[in-house]
Parts: sequence; C-alpha cells; structure tokens
Amino acid sequence: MKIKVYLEEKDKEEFVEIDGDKVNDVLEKLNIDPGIVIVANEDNELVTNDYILEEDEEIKIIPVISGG
Amino acid sequence: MRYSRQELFDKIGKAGQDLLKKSRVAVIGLGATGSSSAELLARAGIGELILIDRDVVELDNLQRQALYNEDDIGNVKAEAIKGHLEKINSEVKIRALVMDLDYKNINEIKADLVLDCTDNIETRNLINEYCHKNKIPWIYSGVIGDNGLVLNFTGNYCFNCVFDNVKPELLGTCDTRGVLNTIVKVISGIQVNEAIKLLTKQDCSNEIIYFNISNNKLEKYKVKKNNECKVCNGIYDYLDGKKGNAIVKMCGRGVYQVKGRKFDLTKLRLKGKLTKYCLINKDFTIFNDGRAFIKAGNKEKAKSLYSKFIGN
Repeated sequence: MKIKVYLEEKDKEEFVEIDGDKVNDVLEKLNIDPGIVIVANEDNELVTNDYILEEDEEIKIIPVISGG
Repeated sequence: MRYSRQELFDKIGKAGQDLLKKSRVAVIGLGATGSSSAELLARAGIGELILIDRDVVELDNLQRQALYNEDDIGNVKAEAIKGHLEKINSEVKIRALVMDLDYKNINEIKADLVLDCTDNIETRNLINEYCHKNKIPWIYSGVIGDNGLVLNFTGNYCFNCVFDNVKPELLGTCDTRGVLNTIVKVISGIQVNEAIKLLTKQDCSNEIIYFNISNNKLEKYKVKKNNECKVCNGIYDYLDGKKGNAIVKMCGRGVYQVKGRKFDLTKLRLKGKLTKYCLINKDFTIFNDGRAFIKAGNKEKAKSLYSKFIGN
C-alpha cells in the first residue's frame, strides 16, 4: 500500500510503500519510534498508531516537543 | 493609562482588563518560554502571578531567556525574575516559589490558569493530573530548534489523551538540538495570547498550534478526547506519587537533579558560594530543599556523587 507522508519537522513530503495498513507500519518503515511523534490524518485530526490507512491516504508526522 | 492600548482593543476593553486584574496565573518553569511569558503577563496586567522554578541563572541562558542579565548569574530564577517584573509593573502581585514541582507541593498552585513552560514530560503529566482533578485550565508550550507548539487544556481532553505513548527519554533536548530565541518569542506570544483570551472569556483554540520559524509555517491539528485515557477516568498516578523520578536529567546541560531530604547548607562538607537558597560550586548546585544539580555522565554516577558528598 502506498501512503503519502508529510514530515512536519523537515517540512518534507514523501511516498512510502508499506506491507501493513496501519500508521504503525508507516512509522516502522521510516524507522521512527512511535514514542517521539504524534500523527494526524489529511484533515489534520490526530489519529492513533493503530489507525487503519487506505491506499494513497496522506498522514502527517509531528514531532513531540518537550523543551522550554 | 498603563493599559490604555490594550483596553482600546475591542476584544478586551475595560471589562476584559478588569478580568485580567482579577486573575491569578501560575507560570511553571522560568526558562526560555516561561521568562518571556511571565513578562508578557505582567505587562498585560494580570492581578497575581505565581512564578515557579527549580533552577539558577547560567551564562548560556542569556541567549534566549527574557529579563535575566549577567548580574543574575548564580541567582535562583524565580527570585531574579520577580525583581525584574516588579520594576516593570509594580501593580502585579508576584509570588516566587523556588522549588521542584512534585506531587507533595503542587497544591501550592492555587491559580485560575496554569502556564506550562517546563522542559520535561514528567512535570507536564503532574500538571495535567493536578489541573484535571481541580478543573483548572492550563496551556502547554514547547520549543526546540526552530519549532514550537502550544496546546490549551480546558476540559474537553487532557494531555494524557494525546501524549500517553510518548517516551520522554527519546525526545530531543536543547542540549542536543539547540533552540533559537526567535521561536521562543513566537511560542510565548501564542501561549500568552491564548491565556488572555481564556481569562477574558473569549473563544480559545482547541487545536495543537505548531509553528516553524525557518519557513514561517503554522499548522493546526485537531485534538479529541481518548475515552480510554486513565487521567480522564480519574486515575492520577503522578499526583498520587506512584510515578515520577527522584533523578531527572536537566534540559540544556549534562546535569542531573537528584532529590533527597532537606538539610542545612552550612553543615555540608562541600565548599562554594552560599546564597539564601543554594550552595554553588563547579560540579554541584545544592538547594536547601534537599535537591542537588550534579554534573555527571549518567544517572547512576549522579546518585553516587550525591550519596558521597551530600548524603543518602
């Protein structure tokens, strides 16, 4: 399945080919630990890591920011 | 006269200004964002500010932390900033609390609104549980590199609903990634603007406001309640003292905070500069509430140095 991914931190878009159908599968493919990001769908609504994706769906990966 | 330009602004007016004057706001963490937000709140005419911080001013703070100057180096931040703010607006009642916020002392925050300007997820979890239990709105802010975010919590969802899966130990810090002073000002401005909107009964954001200052891009992300959230279901592990570390790596330097029992600083074997709140030398800053900042390579080494020079 092909998913369009927007990486907020890098302000960069890329297409990712995954075997599964969940957000977690995208993170794994991109080698991103799920403990450092939150993820939104194309409507900018936050979704969980077990959110089921559809072909060509777009997600946005947003880094958690802790510094102050 | 002092607030005339703010009162002219139709969304605030004289009625809004009166609401600000009657408000009590706590600012937790007086580093980059906190010092800047505290300044904006004081200038805006908040009636009472409670300023909380555990740290002392250091030279490398001056690049991004508002109001502090070279004369403040070595002084505790809460007291230093209180002195500066009193010169900016003597009408604001200011209470400075030099302490590491934990489940035992968090009840000292008796505020209408809490601004989170801390540098760690653990304290945010504690603030979240305290504010959720006591129905106090709070505003999370975070900055790193050229990015920052703000999120209001007013009761529809909580911090744990969104950030339950975060692994704090894997997050970047100012120490590893650096931070621009310009993003600090933007995020502080957004945070205080949300605070003023909330205190003057205007509609507030219920989205994550995420800003990158290199490309000047602002994104907003919709947040919703997680029905399985422990905090929303009344389970307060941080507030009950079941979660939380006695040893914490401080943001911005290779320093660990180790907590112990209270003691008399004058009876320590260590030598250094002694102030009202702490004793400072090259490798240690020891506070009279039992905390110590220790330069060490790792947690275990910090604990060992604490035991050796301060006690168990």
